[in-house]
Amino acid sequence: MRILICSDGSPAAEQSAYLITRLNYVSEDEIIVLGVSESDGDQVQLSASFERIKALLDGQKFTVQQKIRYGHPAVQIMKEVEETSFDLVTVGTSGHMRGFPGLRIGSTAQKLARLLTTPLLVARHVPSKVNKVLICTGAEIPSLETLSVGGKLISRVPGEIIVLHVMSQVAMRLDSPADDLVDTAESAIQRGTREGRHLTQALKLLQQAGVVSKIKPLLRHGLVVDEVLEEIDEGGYNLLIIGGHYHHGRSHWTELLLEDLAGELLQKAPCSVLII
Amino acid sequence: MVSISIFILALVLVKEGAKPLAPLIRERFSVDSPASALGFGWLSASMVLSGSPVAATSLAFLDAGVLSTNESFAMIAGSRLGASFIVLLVGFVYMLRGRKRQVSLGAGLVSLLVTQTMYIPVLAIGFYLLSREWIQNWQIQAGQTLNSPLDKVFDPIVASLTQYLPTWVLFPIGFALLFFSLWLFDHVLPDLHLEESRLGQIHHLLYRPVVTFLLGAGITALTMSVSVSLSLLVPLSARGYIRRENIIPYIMGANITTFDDTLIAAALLANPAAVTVVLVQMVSVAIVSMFLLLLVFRTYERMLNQLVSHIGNRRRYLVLYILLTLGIPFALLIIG
Repeated sequence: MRILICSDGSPAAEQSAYLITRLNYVSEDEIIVLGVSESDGDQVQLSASFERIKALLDGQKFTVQQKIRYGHPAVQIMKEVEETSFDLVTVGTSGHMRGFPGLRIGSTAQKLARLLTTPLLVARHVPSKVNKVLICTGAEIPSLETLSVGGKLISRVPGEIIVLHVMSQVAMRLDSPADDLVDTAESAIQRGTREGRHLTQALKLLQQAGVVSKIKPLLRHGLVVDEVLEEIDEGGYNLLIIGGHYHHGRSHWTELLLEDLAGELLQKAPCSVLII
Repeated sequence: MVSISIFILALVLVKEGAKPLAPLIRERFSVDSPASALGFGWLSASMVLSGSPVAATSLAFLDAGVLSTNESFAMIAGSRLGASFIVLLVGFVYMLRGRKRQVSLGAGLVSLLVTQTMYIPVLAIGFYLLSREWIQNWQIQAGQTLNSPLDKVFDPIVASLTQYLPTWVLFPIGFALLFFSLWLFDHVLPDLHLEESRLGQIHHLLYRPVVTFLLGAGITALTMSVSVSLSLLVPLSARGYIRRENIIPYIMGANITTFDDTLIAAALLANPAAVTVVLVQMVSVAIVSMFLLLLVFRTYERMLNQLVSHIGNRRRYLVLYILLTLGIPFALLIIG
């Protein structure tokens, strides 16, 4: 596996390297540390950051390479990813991102989340031990890719993995089935509802991806973004995995019509986020 | 054409029949202020289970000199507040008969709460706009440029009816015909084939609020009724579900274009003040919708969702809510 750790010389960037060490990747995995400098004055800061990142990674015996690019961070990271193929790109961010929900100020992470087709790991408030992961699934076909690819990337994380689907539907007619709207994950699986069948498939996909942790399905009812954030808050998760808003096979027209949930969760989640 | 002709005839009859009813409406029903007109429109729409005929009647009252512009505006607003009440009442009855609240209340409660929460600022903006001098100067002077096409065509019919019937009887006949013509409109709807469009997945996918807002406005502009517009979404989902994130902006959009039949009624009456009242209503709803959609949508959506949960989860809250929804218009009518 080839991983790109991006640094702008800030302590937040080192968080992404630290998070990589917590995900239990093996020594055969190749890591490239990319420093992006917007001005010449940044170079001293970048060199110091390289040293600290290297020290963090050395303990894990990874093969580490260093690179520097000059220019706008998001543009330079995109160029690097276009030139060399990666399995994972990581960036750090300090705290919550700023901006109105509707009028977001574009950060590097937000831009990369929109532009990258490679999985993007955004490190935030990384704990000493990553042991609780929340994978969100929309119960649609793109979610299967999120589960397979996301599962592989966190397959060696010990602890607990929760697969969450949020049902925000309400009934429009009086003869609509009522039970689906109050189901738990267990009852949905048992009754074989649409959501239950999807959760069963999700568990299988994660097992096939080699996930070593205990996997549990979860069904919540309410507004999607609110329920995901509430689950993170209540469950004390270290990492959130979500599908990207922009992915192969989806037309730009459809992307324009659909809500950018990945962008919103990336902005609001209090923990690290992996966007597939 | 048949439904439009009946609609026009109904408007003329309501207008003519309302004239002798003026003392009854202003004194007996105490509709002599915007607050009482709001309560009157609200109760009337709750009773006839529809907002459009009440809104059209309000314009006929304005044209006949029974109501002022502010009162007519308030009565139309009341017609929107009362229009969805039946959905809640039917849902409540189903709940009492043992159906789960998730199905009994469902989208109906969300729809009612969207309208009710929006109409407080809508009324404030509307009254403000109507009080401005520039809005009076803006409207075309009827005597100078417009003559009602209704008078020429339908005057002979009205004249012959008044020979055999007391004039006030024209009001209930006209109101029944208004109802019938709007029912006819609903039944000659174009087939929209939404299931074949990208928006056919509205029960699964989350669309941007502005997309469903425009969809709600567009479909309701064609159907002229919020309930008919919503019913077109039902076949899109096998289970009859819709995502609550999608329904809120959809209702907001629908609440603007549902006035297009009222606007047509105002134009047919050729009364500039009536056209202004309807346009101010539409503009006020649009201003509030845009504010909510573009600036505070997530907060509003969360607040509404919590309100739905609170009302739906406890039967006594639901009973209290139903009593309030019925009691407020009564109070407005009595106190106002």
